[in-house]
Amino acid sequence: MNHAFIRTPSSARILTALIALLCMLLSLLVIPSAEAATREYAFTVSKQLVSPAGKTERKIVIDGEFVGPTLEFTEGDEAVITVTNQLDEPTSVHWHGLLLPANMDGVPGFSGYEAIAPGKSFTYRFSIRQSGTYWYHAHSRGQEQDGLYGAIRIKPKSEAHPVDRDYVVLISDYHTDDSDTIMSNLKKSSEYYVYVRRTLGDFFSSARKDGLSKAWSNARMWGDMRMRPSDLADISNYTFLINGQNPDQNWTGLFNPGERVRLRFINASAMSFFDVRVPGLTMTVIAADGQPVEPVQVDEFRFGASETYDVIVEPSADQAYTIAAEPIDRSSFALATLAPRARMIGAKPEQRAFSLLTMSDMGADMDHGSMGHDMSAMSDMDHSSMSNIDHSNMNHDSMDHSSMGHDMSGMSQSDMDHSDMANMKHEAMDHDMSGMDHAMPTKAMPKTANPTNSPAPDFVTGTPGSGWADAGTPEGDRALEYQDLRFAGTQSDVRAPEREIVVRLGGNMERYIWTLNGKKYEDSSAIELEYGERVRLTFINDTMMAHPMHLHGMFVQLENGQPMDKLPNKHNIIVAPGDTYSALLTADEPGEWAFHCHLLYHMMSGMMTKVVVATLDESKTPAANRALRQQPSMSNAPASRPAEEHAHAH
Amino acid sequence: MRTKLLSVLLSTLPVAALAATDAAMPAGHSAMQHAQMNSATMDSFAYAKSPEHPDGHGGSVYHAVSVELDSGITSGGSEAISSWDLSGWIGGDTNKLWLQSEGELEGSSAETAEFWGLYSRKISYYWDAQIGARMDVEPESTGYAVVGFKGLAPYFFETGAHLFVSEDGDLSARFRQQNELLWTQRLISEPFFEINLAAQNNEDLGVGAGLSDIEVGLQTRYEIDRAFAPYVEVRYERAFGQTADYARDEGESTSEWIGALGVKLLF
Repeated sequence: MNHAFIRTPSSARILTALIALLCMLLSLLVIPSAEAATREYAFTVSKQLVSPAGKTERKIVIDGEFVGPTLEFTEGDEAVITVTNQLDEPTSVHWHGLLLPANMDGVPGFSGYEAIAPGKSFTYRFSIRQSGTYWYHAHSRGQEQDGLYGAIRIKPKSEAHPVDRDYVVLISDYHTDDSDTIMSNLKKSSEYYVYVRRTLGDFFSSARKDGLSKAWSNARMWGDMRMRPSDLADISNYTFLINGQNPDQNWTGLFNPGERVRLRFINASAMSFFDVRVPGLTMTVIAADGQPVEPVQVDEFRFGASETYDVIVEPSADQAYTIAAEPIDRSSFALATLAPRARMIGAKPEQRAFSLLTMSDMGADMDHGSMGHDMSAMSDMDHSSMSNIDHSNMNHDSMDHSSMGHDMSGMSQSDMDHSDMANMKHEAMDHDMSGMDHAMPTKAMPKTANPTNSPAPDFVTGTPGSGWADAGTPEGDRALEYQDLRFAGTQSDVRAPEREIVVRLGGNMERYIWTLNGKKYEDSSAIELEYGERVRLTFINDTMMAHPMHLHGMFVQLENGQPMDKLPNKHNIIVAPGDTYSALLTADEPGEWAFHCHLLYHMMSGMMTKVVVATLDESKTPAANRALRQQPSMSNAPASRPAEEHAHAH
Repeated sequence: MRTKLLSVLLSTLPVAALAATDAAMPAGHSAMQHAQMNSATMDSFAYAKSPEHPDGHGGSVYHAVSVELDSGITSGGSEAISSWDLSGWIGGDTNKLWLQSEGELEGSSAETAEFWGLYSRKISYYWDAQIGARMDVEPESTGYAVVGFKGLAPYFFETGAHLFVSEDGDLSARFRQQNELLWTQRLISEPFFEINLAAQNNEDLGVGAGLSDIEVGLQTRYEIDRAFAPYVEVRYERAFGQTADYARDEGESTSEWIGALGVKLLF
């Protein structure tokens, strides 16, 4: 019967129609998201007079706006973004935190991407494979400092945290000097912009407070090392902006009392760490670096250049609330307002005290054994006196201590609970450093790595006794810590790492040189990863400054003491002075990726390298990424790009 | 504007090539990374091993020029005494061309005038080794070969130590240190001293063997910003031994106090 049916001419037509219909249905299944929209943006980068700090300066604007527009997407969209360069130098735009093909990442010289020449355009095309809060910025010279940055907001397919209001709070540091001038001034003198050095008056006041001999030995020790305890920031005279507005302009987000308000905090600064709070409101952190985390309630958080946090606040009173982001050098504030009506101003918070660095911030090469890192001696500390220890979050079984490569001998799991360590209060440490070995300078300088000498991970940002980590959080307030972050959901890759890659953060403050593993970018060789490989990145900070370390193209899972399947995704990790931190990485995005300190002038003076994820076995490559392997940068073929990606005259 | 002009001028110097070699230094693989790498997979990677230079990611040429000009009175004479001290470099982080000039005028006639040109290379965290030439125009026209060190000693002592061999084969040396005391962030006193040594007598130059002379002083400046700072300086200069004898023979004083007002610029 079927036979006969097929042979009739009219049936043939029906069959053709059926096949066509089937093909259409199949194509709907094959294309990842049938409802995916193509979101197109086109913007022009140029220079224009702006005056966010009062003084009028020529800075970079995007479509005439100082601080670029927020790009909006929905997960699954196809992004098509055309950038036209009207500057007199090459430019580029990097999509910070987005998962995308490597040649769309926007770092000149990486994965075949070339800078956009003056007068030319480039069209970025990529699928939006994630949701959350991200941002974009230039990756050419210091253009990011000069104004080429903006926010990216990606709506998920289904919203886990419905809110009434949703605001981007993009915080940046504006300087009247342009970035090239700042860079060259830092090379003239690394203290060119530093106006917080210790004075004779400071010395005498600490002598009055702690006694002359202690003040003298402390000053002697820092002098012996040719380092300064006040070295929290390289650059001063910043005006801090929120969504492009200075504290007087006072960006305001409106709410009706009782509404749930989502604030998407983005640290789009070139060089600044901020302590962020909204006095009077508790913030529920729901995402870190764009990626969902289990809600955690805090009063404040610290974030470094390029990090983002999404929080929900529920202002119930009919009043103005101040959003305050205070840089760690306590020079001023970035301020904005949440208010029921426009032109209301909340109370301005008091500037907190500037905390001086301590010997604990000195470097991971120091003799930590004499400084309270000796864990065997710590096991008899009175843990019961610490009230805020949450043992429930701790899953020791999921932590592979043997593979960490740190010497923990003499310490048994039973008498040493890491969660106690994590919450240990700094006051418990002896800060008296007068008795320390003065021969430290040679030891504190960058030298060959010996990861086994590094202190065991304590999951705390900052070493015990760190002056850097002392945010001055008021008694009873809770500050977000890295170990609070738990991935919302379950991590799909919970493999133990196959190997450890040690990344030593080094620098020469006197010469303003910053390095990874002792090398400046131009002298460095790439970190080579095999596609699909699982590795541990261990950061050891040998410097006295904190470095927000950013890997392009892939999220790392921060090893913050949470179980493996709950480790939070991050695109940036603050490694505090003298501290060690590690993260796991599944190398699942082929290409050449930039890996650098996100303090702009550290990156510009060498603190950067290349991570190459290379595919060796075609069958292991997902089909979607296969085209990428043909990319010139991945082979030794001469550089050429697909025709449609060529920069063209506009 | 000034700075831009200067950098254009400076960039025409042949030292740009010098800085380029700085950037092109052998890019050896990090030993540590390699130690961690599985050597079997190493050779399978095919990509450009030496990173290119994306815009602003290193390899740049920088410069710094510090200028001190002052004029004042001296205990050793009735004429006004003026001095200049220029020092600057251009280059990369490792290799620099170092240029220096200092001298003193009494009235309108130059008493001393030195011009230095050195190749300066980073040899350690805080120290550069330097080699080059020094040409004195006054008191006698003399050329020297120079080797030495410049850097930052513990306790923030900026230090220069140089050895000179003159065109006549005479050996001499100079050691100089300075430090900073901050009264406030901008009001800064800078004590300094300089010692000159010689291995032989040279009557033409008026320099005797041994410790020839010292200079100690205190400059107190107000940094309106780093680029512009007016200052008051008091310094004491004294000749010793045979050098002092030569000075006495010439009817000159062997020691003098100088008080001066000046300005310090940084380009």
